[in-house]
Amino acid sequence: MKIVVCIKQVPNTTETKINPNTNTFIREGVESTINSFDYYAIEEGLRLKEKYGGTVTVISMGPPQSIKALREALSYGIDNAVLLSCKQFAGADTLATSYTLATAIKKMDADIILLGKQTSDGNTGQVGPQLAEFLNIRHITNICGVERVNKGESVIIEKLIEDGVLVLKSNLPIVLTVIKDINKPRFPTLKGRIRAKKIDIPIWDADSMIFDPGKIGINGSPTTVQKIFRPSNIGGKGKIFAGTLEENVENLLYELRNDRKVL
Amino acid sequence: MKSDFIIIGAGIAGASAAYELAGEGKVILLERESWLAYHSTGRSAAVFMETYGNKTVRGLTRGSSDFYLNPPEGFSEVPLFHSRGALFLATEEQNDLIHQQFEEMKNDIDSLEFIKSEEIKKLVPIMNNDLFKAGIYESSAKDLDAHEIHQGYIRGLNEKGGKLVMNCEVHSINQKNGVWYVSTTAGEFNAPIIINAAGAWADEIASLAGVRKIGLEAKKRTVMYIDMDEYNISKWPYVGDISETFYFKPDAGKLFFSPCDEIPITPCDAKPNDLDVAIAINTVEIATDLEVKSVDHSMAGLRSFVADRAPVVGQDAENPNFFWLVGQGGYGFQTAPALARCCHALVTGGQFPMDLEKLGVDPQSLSPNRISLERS
Amino acid sequence: MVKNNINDYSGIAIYAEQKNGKLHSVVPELIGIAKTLGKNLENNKIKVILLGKKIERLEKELFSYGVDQVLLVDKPGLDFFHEDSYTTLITEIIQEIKPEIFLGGATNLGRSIFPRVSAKLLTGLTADCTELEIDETSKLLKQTRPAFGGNVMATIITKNHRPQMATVRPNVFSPAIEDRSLEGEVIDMSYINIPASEFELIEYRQEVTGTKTLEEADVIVAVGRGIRGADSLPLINELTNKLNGAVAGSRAAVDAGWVPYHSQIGQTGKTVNPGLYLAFGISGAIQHVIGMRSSEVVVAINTDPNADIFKIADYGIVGNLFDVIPEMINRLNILGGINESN
Repeated sequence: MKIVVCIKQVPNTTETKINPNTNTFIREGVESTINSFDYYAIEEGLRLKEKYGGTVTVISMGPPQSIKALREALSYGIDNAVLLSCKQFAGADTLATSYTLATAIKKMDADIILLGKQTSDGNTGQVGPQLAEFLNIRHITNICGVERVNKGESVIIEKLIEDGVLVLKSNLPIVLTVIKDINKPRFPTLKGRIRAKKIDIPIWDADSMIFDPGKIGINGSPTTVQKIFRPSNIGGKGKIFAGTLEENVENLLYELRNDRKVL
Repeated sequence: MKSDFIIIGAGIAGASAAYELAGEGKVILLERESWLAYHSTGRSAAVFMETYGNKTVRGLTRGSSDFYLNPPEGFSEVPLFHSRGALFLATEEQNDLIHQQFEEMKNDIDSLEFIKSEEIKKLVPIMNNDLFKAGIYESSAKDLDAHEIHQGYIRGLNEKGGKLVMNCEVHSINQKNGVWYVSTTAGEFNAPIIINAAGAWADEIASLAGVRKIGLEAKKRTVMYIDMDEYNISKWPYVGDISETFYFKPDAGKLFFSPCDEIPITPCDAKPNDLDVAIAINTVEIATDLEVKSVDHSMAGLRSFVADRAPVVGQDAENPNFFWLVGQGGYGFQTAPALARCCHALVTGGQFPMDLEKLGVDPQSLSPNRISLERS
Repeated sequence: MVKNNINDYSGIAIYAEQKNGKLHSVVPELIGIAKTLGKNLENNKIKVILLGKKIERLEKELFSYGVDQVLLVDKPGLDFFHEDSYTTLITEIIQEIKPEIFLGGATNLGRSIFPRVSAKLLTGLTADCTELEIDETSKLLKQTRPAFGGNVMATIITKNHRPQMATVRPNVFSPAIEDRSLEGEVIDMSYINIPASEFELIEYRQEVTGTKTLEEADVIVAVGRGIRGADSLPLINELTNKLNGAVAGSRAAVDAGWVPYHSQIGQTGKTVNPGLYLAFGISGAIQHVIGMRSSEVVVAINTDPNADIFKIADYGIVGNLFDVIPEMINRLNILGGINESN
């Protein structure tokens, strides 16, 4: 069985610092890591391989430094890795990213393509479904379990929805986006890391295959970020109720129910 | 803003010193981050072990015991100590070493027991019995409630009229006519005396003030949390080996494990590196029967040391109005009350605490000007 | 990329998510914001796409919110899990009606089908918008959403492609007001042929109330040191049950054995983002806050007015939780329990 996992390297920080003059992120001194949801996708890929045989390839689109994330993925036992990186790919929104990944993945004849539900920086969760569209195959999001694969033909999965779990059957090939806690990701062994260091990671650029230049990078991105700013509620704009006990509770519940609609 | 003392760094060192000095005048405590205990103070293993560290550290620890056992009225509403017990293990090759350590410390610490291999298994069932043949058990070792202690000092500071300023990054420090002028992102402050409690960043602060560096080195230590669902580990002691190649202890249902690494690093928001975590897993699997498939969380913290690995407290010889309170290494919490009292005595020129002198701690052994620091 | 001729596109379209004949609560909210946007647009007509099986009476409800047209496809083979059929249908309809703006809910379904549709249409999509506005000069839709887990907000535009697609989180915008006298036009598009869905339903495991995990819970009641001991738990549980929530704890509460290990919230525990997070007796150390600060609404109850938790709380009461909780339970009994949101 051929499994492909798409991963993204993201900044490893819980505190984001914005340069107030240019309205861009301060990236110096910020380390990178594999996007947290992607660890679950990697683990699921490895488990499927262990159960059904085959190979797992990991692919990422990003700046050259992203090779670090791919190297780490290899240390978990992934068979091979590919990095899509060049100037022309840069500045891509999710649509252009999905198109670029799809063009590369088309060459791989994958049965199952796994992604994490969303990234910790973009948080959109859009690449999975868009990628599936460019590949012209099925997709299902929010996967909390893969029950069975009928090799080469179909898969039975569990999808988490608001009020429960749907167990669905679908033919292959398919794109699946997984949620956290679908599994418990393993950690790299020292052996795995040594092996990973020796594996060659090819870097494909805009000339490596046929890309429509109007669909990659900035040209292929219908959306653009106009500005970024800090939300005003960081730093506490909280409302402290300062009346009697009865007044405070009454007012609190009123606001929660009527204004914020969380009760 | 004018005050009598400016303390730079509101970690456990700065906070405890501020608390002690608040009675002597106006104290301003400056903190760079927007949250308290973001760095080392919030990443402490929070253990109290009288056997831990070199002679000076052990004396400071014993001298802090009373504060934690009987804190001042109103300091905290909950106990600051919880019993834990600590077990230090030795392999066959380390047999002589462990006997020697036991002899050295048994007179100072009543609760020490020498234990043999069968008893190790009883205390901590997962230990690798083929590897560890003997151990020292310190039944009086404790868990410290690090958060409560730190908060207690900060609350106490506020009650005594001191002031904590957050989001306060120091740009420049200048001295004029015996007064220090500290320029920060949260405003301008001045006071005749500065106390440098900036943890890993202490030498950077010293440079800003034109004071010669103390030679502090920040060392990163990796920690991971392992799920221990099959075991009830809440009563297990702290376990480490006598050559400090690993330790672990229970933490909210998980096993908090460290390979005791000390990776030299520039001061930063320490994060674990996955190679170090892989090494840690390898170490767990050698020392215990555990098979670690996955790790719940991992993190890293900084422990900062000077050349002779004892803390530095006192007046800088070249700049008499600049005081140091740094180099607590991995002992910051267990020595904080004693160090804060030393700092208070040295800053005010008052009597050095006699109880600490009796425990082998004196101004010379803590001095920033001592030769063993090899200051360049 | 071939740019759609943007002058051909006008008006606002909304996808009306429904399940088993019931509209999702986000739909009236979408209509509400669409009406606000319409005030700054030349063509402010609102068309609603309604798909499913046996859903006729929903049209009346939609018209009561003040929409102009309902584009209806009602036929078998359109169960809520037939997402592939939905995306094909929606794409065809959009290609026919050519709206300049197309809005949907950032629900489970919305997050799956809207990206797919945007890729079919080769247009821009912004997910999870918390603000939508028409730019005065350019007349473009300004789409604002959180990024980096909520630490930062980004405003995004889709300049040269149409429709400008956006999904919106439930409970962010105010719902349109109902007026049953309003009418509108139904356009039956059930004639559109679409291939059968490739997804087969094997089982639909609906959850039993009260078995929500922390990650799924809409309401979390979190306890810290301030609850003093396990004796306080019956009171905490009573409140939590009333709110149909889940109980969690800070590291201190877990360490003390008051709350199970897997309910720890924080840096070394779980990260959650429920609609409502109530923090009782939690001081708000950063190691805890990291695990819950992207909750939509945070309420803090603590006796210490200087507790750091108030820095990130949306609402706070400086008081004793042993007084506040019984009063809350009391009030909730009077108010008559909690409305179950869909």
